[in-house]
Amino acid sequence: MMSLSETLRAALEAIGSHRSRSLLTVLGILIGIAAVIVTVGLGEGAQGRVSSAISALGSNLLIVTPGSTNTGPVRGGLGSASTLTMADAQALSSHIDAPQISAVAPVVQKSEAMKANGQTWSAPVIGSTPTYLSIRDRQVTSGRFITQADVTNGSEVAVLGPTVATELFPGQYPVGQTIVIGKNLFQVIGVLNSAGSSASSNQDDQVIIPITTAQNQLVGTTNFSVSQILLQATSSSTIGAAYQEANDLLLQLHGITSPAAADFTITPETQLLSTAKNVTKTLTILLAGVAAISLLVGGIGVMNIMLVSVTERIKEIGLRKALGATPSAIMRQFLSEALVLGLVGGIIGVSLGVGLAVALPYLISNPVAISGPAVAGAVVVAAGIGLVFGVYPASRAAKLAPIDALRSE
Amino acid sequence: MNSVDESTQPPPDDAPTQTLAVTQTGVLPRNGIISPNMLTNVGSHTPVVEMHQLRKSYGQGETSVEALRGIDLVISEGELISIMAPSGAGKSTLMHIMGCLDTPTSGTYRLDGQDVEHLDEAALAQLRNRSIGFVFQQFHLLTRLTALKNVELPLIYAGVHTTERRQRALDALCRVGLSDRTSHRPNQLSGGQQQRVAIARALVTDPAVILADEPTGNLDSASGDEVLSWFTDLHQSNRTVVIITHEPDVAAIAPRTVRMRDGLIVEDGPSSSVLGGKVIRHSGDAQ
Ligand SMILES: Nc1ncnc2c1ncn2[C@@H]1O[C@H](COP(=O)(O)OP(=O)(O)OP(=O)(O)O)[C@@H](O)[C@H]1O
Ligand SMILES: [Mg+2]
Repeated sequence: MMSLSETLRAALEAIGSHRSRSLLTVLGILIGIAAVIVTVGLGEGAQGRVSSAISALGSNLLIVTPGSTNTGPVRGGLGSASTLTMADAQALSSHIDAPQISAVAPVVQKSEAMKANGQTWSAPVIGSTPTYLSIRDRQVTSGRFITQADVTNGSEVAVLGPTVATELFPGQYPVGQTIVIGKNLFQVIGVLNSAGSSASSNQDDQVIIPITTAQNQLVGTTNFSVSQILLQATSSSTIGAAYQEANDLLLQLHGITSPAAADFTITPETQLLSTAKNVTKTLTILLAGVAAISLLVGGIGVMNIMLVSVTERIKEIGLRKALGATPSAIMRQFLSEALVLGLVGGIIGVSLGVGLAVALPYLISNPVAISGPAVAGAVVVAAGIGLVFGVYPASRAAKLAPIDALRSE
Repeated sequence: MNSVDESTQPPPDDAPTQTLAVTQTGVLPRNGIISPNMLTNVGSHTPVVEMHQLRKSYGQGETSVEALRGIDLVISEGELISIMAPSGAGKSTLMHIMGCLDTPTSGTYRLDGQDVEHLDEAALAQLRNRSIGFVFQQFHLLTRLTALKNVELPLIYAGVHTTERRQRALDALCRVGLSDRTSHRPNQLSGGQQQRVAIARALVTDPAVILADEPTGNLDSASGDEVLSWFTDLHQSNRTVVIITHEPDVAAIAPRTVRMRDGLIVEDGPSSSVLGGKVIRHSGDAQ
């Protein structure tokens, strides 16, 4: 029996004697492997980006909005009567009734035109409480944020997002200046840091004022309704418990007995982003699937050329058998040739794929992750494909009767 | 080349054992007459090939062809024997069975003391590897490999290690006078040289029998004669050699000739009597 290294060397020799044909044969596997590495790399890169966006948002956030998922969202939002009120927010901030909710920020929101300094701009105006800053994980870069006193007094003070600040006060220090929002005059007390724009909204292009001021002067509601309530769970692991507490409490406050009839909806903010993550994941799987089909086609290519090779070398097979090669020795010979073909395709494919993964971020802005296990897996898969698709041709060779093989012309 | 001149000379010490071989195995020529010439040059009495009532038919029913119709043949160790027959008489069929490349339809065959019946493919392959050296009409060398690698092939399947394998292949090539052609590929060698590589490959495993089917069929007469001289040379070093041919003057290099027709042995005896006056060989090989 031939040793493993000898069998492999013989296989390399046989393949080397048809260099260009062998290269064309492994092209399918090669392209497939390279495609798998690049698509998986692109997918993982995109998912990595989404993951970091999620953690930047603060992952323990729940958003309560009026309307239910069953009846569809309540149209109109502000201006029309909302089912959520300041009283709801007040109740949710109770540490006794809702111990897993660490912070609550009711929000009233309306897009408004604003003027200052001869400049005009339009941006969402958010009425909220001091806890908004910590719940949204923001900071003020200059001045201060709204205080509880501002909320109690309904002060006409505003904190600007960095985009609004540069638009209305280009090259100036905004704090202390005045700004007209709608028909009312506000004093700028602070400027927020930049949070960047996420998948859902631009966190820099907004103005924050005390919620009471917003209710009185912008929306004109008298029933203290709010457009949403932001809740922060004590940790990301208690987000489920916090959800339950908020749900039970609101059902009770609204006097609703059947959960199906709820007039509010609680959504974890991460859900939006994890949906985006799932989409990229699905897309990656789809693309990798297409690449895998190319691998399959590559495997069929290997099988095809191995069958040709068996037919071509029918005399060689007959001779080897006459000289004492057992069927299993012939089987091993052709299997190892198929294996080496797959391996060569895999190794070239991996080099190509990794090369592309390194070069691609310079051409398109997407990050491409190169994962070690994927690379190693790709080589193993390529060799496996060679092996699997080599079985049929190899067993054909092994079954040939020596005289038939010797006689053939 | 001088071995050619000695080709018909029997090794003197073989003669006494002949009587024993004949009586033990009961092999008689078809005409039942044992001529005194038959009792020479048969080798030691140990039988290497023993065939009894061997039959082989191809196909089934109406279209069935019976290529061998009851062959009785014993070949002893150290013999050089020719099997001569016209085309279609069943020479190749006999050689395939003798070489364990094919199995008989009925009858018994013992090779080197082993009954080949009931052996599976793998066991037959091992038996071929150990006991048979083939020399084919079309040489059957692997064109990708050098002469040395071609000769190494049977040793690979015998599981011989690299260094020993190389040495034995080199020795075998030296044996047929090709020590200066070891790294040539078949297409860089003449027909005669290719057949000598094939002979080296046949003897490298030290098999019980070397089987040559029309070994000169693809060669001009000069290289044919040269190749034949290596068979007589092998015979002189006590190897068992079977040459299959349809040419009387090729058969004539062997001391013993078996003549076949239509799947039967019609004559078995010393070449001089079997071939009679049919041998028309040029000077130096004349009987
Ligand atoms: N595989 C086969 N199938 C059917 N018939 C066969 C087969 N092989 C040989 N025969 C027949 O068996 C007979 C003997 O054939 P074989 O090849 O042994 O003859 P041969 O003596 O070697 O002839 P040649 O000198 O032409 O090579 C022939 O009639 C041939 O047609
Ligand atoms: Mg023939």
